[in-house]
Amino acid sequence: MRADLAPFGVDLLLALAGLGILVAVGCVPRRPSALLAALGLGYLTGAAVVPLALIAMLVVGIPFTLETFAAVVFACVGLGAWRWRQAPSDPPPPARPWWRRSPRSWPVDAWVAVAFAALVAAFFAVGMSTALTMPLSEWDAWSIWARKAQMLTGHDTLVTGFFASDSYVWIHQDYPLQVPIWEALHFRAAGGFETQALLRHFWLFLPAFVWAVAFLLRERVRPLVWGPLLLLAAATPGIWEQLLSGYADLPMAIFAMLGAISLGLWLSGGSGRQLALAAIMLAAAAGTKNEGLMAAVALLAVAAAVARSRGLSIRPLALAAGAVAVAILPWRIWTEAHGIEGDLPVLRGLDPVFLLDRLDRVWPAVEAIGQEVSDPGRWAYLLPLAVLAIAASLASGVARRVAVFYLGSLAVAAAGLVWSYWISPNPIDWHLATSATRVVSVLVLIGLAALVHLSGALLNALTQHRLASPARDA
Amino acid sequence: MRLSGELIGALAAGAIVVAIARQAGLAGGRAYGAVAIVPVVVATVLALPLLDAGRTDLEELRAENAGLTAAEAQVKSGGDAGFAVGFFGWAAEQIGEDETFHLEIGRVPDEVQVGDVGVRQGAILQWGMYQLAPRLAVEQSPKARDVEPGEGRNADWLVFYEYEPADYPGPIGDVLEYAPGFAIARSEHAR
Repeated sequence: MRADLAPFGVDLLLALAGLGILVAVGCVPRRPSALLAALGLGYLTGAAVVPLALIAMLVVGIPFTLETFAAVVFACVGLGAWRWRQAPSDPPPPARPWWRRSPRSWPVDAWVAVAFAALVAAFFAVGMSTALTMPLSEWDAWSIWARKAQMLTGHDTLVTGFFASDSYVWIHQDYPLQVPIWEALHFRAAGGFETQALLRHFWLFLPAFVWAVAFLLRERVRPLVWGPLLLLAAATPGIWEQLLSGYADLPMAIFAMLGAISLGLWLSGGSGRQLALAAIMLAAAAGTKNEGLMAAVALLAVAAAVARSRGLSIRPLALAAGAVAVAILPWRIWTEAHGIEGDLPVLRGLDPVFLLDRLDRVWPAVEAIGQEVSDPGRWAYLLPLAVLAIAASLASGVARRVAVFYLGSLAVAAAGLVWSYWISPNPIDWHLATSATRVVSVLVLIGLAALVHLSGALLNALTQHRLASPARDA
Repeated sequence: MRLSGELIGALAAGAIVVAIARQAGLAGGRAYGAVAIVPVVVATVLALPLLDAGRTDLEELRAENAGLTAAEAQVKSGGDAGFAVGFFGWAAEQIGEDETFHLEIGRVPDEVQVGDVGVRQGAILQWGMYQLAPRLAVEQSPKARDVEPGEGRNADWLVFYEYEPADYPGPIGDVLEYAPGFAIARSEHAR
């Protein structure tokens, strides 16, 4: 009973911690109905912030236990409660929101939102009933991620005999610990390392991420647009199949996507609160996988270039980038202090002679990445549709700044992936065959961010629909 | 390349929509705004069949794993790969959680080598160290077959997998045998 139920208590606490952080940074209006609407984003924010805090605590020697987890959650909730009482009142809600009216008077957007919620809930329920009995089968899922979580369940500290030992050098000791910490929290709550009780919690990412995107873009994109697009995302095998594999690529891509949307909102006239959320999500992406760090750097660099070219102050963005760096620094310091090196020769990867010597690796990598992102059975045309939305925005001037940001981010992130294959010491065919399917997730999900955000702006231009902010910023 | 075809197709669909919108009297940004209809329609058309296919796949997966107990699920991946999960489970019962071990894996004549590491041996090593965790392995080279004299003597236990304990190049304590070729023994410097 405990193994089945208590880990869901961890999820609930993560959601509460995340809501506390969202209230503290001003990303959620202080109304109970708004807190409920932000629950998906709250869960992902908690899953981002709490492991980052626990990693920092572990590095300075504070034991990893359920008590320290509770203390971090308490601190996050306390921060939110303090902000709730301190900040000036938020604007009141609409006088009579649609859900309090008779269904006969509901607008079409309301019907789309209801249909979307019903279909996602039904799909989620089917997936959850499957996840309840699924074993952890995928190789890296148990050999890398769950193995580290297993150690963090059996030991309260970063045991150097494992995390820094030559005997375990093949477990990618440099990989960040966001997912192992998140998994270990569930194992500890369950009372032991029981892998059959794990994938059901990965499955929670599915409703959480579509819910989070809809919430984040609620003032810019109508349900008529986000409903079908996010439903397609939820139904896309490349997304839901990965969630049931226990790999870290998709959680990382989800964090990066939410970071991209937050940066896109900031570029289209948003405020510091979007930057704060972007920093949280990008820190989590960088704390999940090394490819996440690359995506975070790409998104922040492109956002800075776009902001600068449009005359926006980049000081707040620099602060956000600094916050990302500070958040991931503890683990980097720990690995550096213990002489742990990653697979990729990053510094040599900047040497033109080294790169020229390995030029024959570039085209296979480009080809494999292109093949993977265009696999319709896996990604359901999400990336080509995103490119269409970007092209229409660029041609029309509708949300052009945001379109440039998404296009640049996709290009730089894709170049980063090619570069990582280029400099990798592993045989290229083997490396591509064992990883390309997964690592392209971050490209597709940044594309999904662009697709939803820009399609909303385009439809608003078509219907002259005005939501909270003007979409046109050309 | 397939991606080029998909991009051209998407952009062509967008261009047709813009042309129709202009014919209908929409100008400038509003005509381009009509492009949003393309992804919305494509998503609407694709999402429901994909949801249905996903539901079928998920139900098949559920049927595959129906009746799988937590204990069976825990070692299913190793069992499916042909590893002796029963032996590792037995070894875990003999070795205290705070004790260390060193794994020796026997060689087979047709072992496939990648980067001087036997693929089969490497896989057994990874699984064995996983199933024996949170016990820590020590002095464990990925080249599990290349036993140097004394390698593993600082572990509390030596774990022999398809390996005769008598072949170990160093002193060992009493051998506890699970099955021929599968055994554990106290090492020279066991605590």
